[in-house]
Amino acid sequence: MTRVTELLSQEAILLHLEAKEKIAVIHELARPLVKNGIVTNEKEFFAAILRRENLESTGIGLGIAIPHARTKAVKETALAFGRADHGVDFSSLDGKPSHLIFLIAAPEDKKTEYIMTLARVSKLLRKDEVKAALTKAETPKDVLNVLAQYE
Amino acid sequence: MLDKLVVFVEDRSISNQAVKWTLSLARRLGSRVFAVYVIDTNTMPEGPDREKQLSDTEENAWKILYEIEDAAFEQDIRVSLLLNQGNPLERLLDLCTSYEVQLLVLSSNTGLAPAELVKRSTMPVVFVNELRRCDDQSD
Repeated sequence: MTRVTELLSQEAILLHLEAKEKIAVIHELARPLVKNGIVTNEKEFFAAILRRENLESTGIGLGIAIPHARTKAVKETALAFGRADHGVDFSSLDGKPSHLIFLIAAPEDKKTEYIMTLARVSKLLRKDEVKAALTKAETPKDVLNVLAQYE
Repeated sequence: MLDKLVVFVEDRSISNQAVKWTLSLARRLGSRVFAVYVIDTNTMPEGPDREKQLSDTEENAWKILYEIEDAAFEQDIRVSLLLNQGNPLERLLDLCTSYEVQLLVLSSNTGLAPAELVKRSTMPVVFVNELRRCDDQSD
């Protein structure tokens, strides 16, 4: 399977998310993926993301959220990562705000890769040492190094 | 009303029909589903391989859970994924109580002790026969 670090570019790592609200945060995270052409239809991509968020929260608890969508509006599987020191309300089951947010975008016909990526990211982010290292990372390169170390 | 259902998720070969039956019921009733997977850490061997085994098991569990989420999403069913570690029976009962669910669904092939589970559960428990097709509307 493709490694998480191969799906995440430095440009898609935002260590100081400005947005405070869930939907605005997802927009902010999606911007680099739109800019580099991975998301080919922003409107359609957002419709897919919002449909899922409206159905059920993608906040998995422990300060983590993984908004995700598999849609024709995406050219290839890619990630964006953002850190929100202020915390964002993703309506997580544990009621806690999310500080580490991974956006996962995948083409409609790449279901296996999409599921594998979700599983890999979820597993990584539940490790206390990974969360601590991502919280302390000072540069996008640091984030990639942390993920490469623990993957 | 059955607003909240829990399905206990085990390996695909064990709980496939239980999951399908739960999603089918949730679609008809408009219920929310909690898909619960508990990694039994007590049965994992001690030693240097334990960490790797735990990591592999966790990734596989997430894969199964996200496949359920994907299937639920296609049918507009609300599903929350819960991955825990510990004693499966204890954790399952704790989660059912915490989330105030009204029905617990398991596979007839479950690795849990059915008699103890039913005895201690405060909600109705349904065992779905894995040998029978359960995805038709007559269930």
